[in-house]
Amino acid sequence: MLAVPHVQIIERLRWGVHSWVKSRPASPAEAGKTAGRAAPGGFAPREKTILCMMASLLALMFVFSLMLGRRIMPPGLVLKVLLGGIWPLDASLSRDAEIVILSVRLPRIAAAMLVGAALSTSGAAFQGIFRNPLVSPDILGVSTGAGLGAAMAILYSLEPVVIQAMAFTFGMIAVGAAYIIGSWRARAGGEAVLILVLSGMIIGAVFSAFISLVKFTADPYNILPAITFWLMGSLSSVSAGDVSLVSVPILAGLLLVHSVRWRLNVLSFGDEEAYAMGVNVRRVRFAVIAGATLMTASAVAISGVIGLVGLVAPHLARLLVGPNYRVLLPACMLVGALFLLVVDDLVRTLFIAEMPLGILTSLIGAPFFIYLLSNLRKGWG
Amino acid sequence: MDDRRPALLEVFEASCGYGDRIVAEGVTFAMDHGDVLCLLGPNGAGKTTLFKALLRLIPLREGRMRIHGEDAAAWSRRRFASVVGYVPQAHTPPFPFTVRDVVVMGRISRVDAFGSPTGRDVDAAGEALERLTIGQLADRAYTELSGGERQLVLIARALAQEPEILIMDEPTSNLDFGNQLMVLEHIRSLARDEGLGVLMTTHDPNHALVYGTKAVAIDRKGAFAVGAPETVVTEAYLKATYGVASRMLRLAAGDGGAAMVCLPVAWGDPAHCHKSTDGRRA
Repeated sequence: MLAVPHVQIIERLRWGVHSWVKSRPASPAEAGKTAGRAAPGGFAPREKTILCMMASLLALMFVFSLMLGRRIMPPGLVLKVLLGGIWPLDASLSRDAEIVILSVRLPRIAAAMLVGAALSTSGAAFQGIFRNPLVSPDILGVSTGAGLGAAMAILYSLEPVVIQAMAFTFGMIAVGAAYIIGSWRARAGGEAVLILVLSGMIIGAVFSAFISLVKFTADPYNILPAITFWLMGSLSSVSAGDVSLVSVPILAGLLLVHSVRWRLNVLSFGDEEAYAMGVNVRRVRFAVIAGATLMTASAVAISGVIGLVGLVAPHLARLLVGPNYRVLLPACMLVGALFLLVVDDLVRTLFIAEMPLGILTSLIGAPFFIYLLSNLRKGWG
Repeated sequence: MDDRRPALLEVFEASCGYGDRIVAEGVTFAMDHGDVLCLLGPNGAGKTTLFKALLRLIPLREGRMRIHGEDAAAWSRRRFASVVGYVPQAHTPPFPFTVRDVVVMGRISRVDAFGSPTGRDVDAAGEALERLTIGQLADRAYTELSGGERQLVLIARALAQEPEILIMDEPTSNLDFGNQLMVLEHIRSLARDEGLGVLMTTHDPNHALVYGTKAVAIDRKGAFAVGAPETVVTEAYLKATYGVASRMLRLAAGDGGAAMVCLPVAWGDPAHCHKSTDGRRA
């Protein structure tokens, strides 16, 4: 009882945000009428307000990010070029500005938003199915698997698109292996979720041993630095083609996880309760793992390993809208996109020699993680 | 017999267990609308396992479970959940869901596979909270409630399922003296006034004696006795099972009726108790 849960602080902050967005209903009876009342499949007014504000902020940040770079572009020019990209009208626009904005900055910014949304959503979804707020998207070994795939492709100096394909494939293989081993061992009895986490850890350990093996055999002058740099995570070499290629699986994964997001709530109460409430736990869990893995593997394939986004962004979103996945997942998507966009802007503009994105996300995310650790009340549910 | 309406819940010769181990065997009882059936037994006697089997979390090894005369083993989870509500022991989930969110989750068996709750589901949740007179908790965080309030919220969640049967796992455990009675009074009124069938486990013989309309008592050897509470929860049972020598007292209840209660007077090792005579021990 004495351990003041971070939950309480979050709750208080959340109310703070709410009362700022819209004054809190005066009486409990009134609250009963407005709060939580949702149109079929929709959001309560307060939730809608917060989501709209976040979406507008993201749109603003998107335009602002297009302005940023070695050459600062005025917002008017950015908007004109953007509109021209869809529907070319203004022939007077400079060709240079068009190339810089549409071919250089736009793919990278779109990639940052997609990767951020994917990592944040899968982090939040995994925290729900594993009933632990400290879980990140890598828990089943997707990043380690992707790392191994990429490392092997780099070892044989394969094309960038092959590196991405290998990263994606091995990310999926790692999680697939963890899932199969987990379900197989769980059939013999025991806590299914715990067994799944443990088999994810084992798979992660095995795959990272193989990464070390690849690094060990790699040429230390050319190949090894390339592998190391890939593992640090960066968006600097993302092309428009990469973005459109991975946007399909990322959007599919987002859609899949979003379609079961309300059911995800029930899973955080434990398998038995969820079964007793009539939820097909195994099916929902499979949908979440499949969707989350699909998008994380795709994200990692173009960005490399970017740490702590999948942990920090869900908690920021929880501060804003609370823990109900029905509204939390859309919020997560927006916060994750915004978070990675801002951090990548810092990476692009703050340093002359570009720093890998993964380093900065971890440096920013670490203090938050430590704060969460000190407030951890219980372990595996 | 044939023209009689089948009982709400019938369990016939049920056996259950894990792996090679059979924990409970030959369980037979029936329960109807308005019944509060209390399951009493020592730790490790297989109450939890039996509960899991009745909730279809683990398969029944043998025997049958019928609801309204229909074999429930073949039902889909959704259909089962729309008739049987489960109330677990009060616990803390890892996220601070609001009470309303928690109770709305009970509607899940009544919402489409990929759907979200509608206004009607939110209303049903509000109604369930009102039935237990805890409507004022709706916007509080579930994780910040007291144990008694949490137990009521979990009952409300089960009620939101609109079930006919409530299965409750030790609804009074970890509650203080007052909250135990508060929860039990609610359970009694749900059965008596709203016609639900309640199946609950308890460790307190007096809960079964005072609030139960039926009792299932499991002894140390795993044998089951079923019947009216005062015929099943007896001095002999308590002594043989728990090693507790006790006196049964008949007390006049407030509503004009009478209830048996037991008063424990001495404890001794169950095996030892068998040998000594009743009078000397007490």
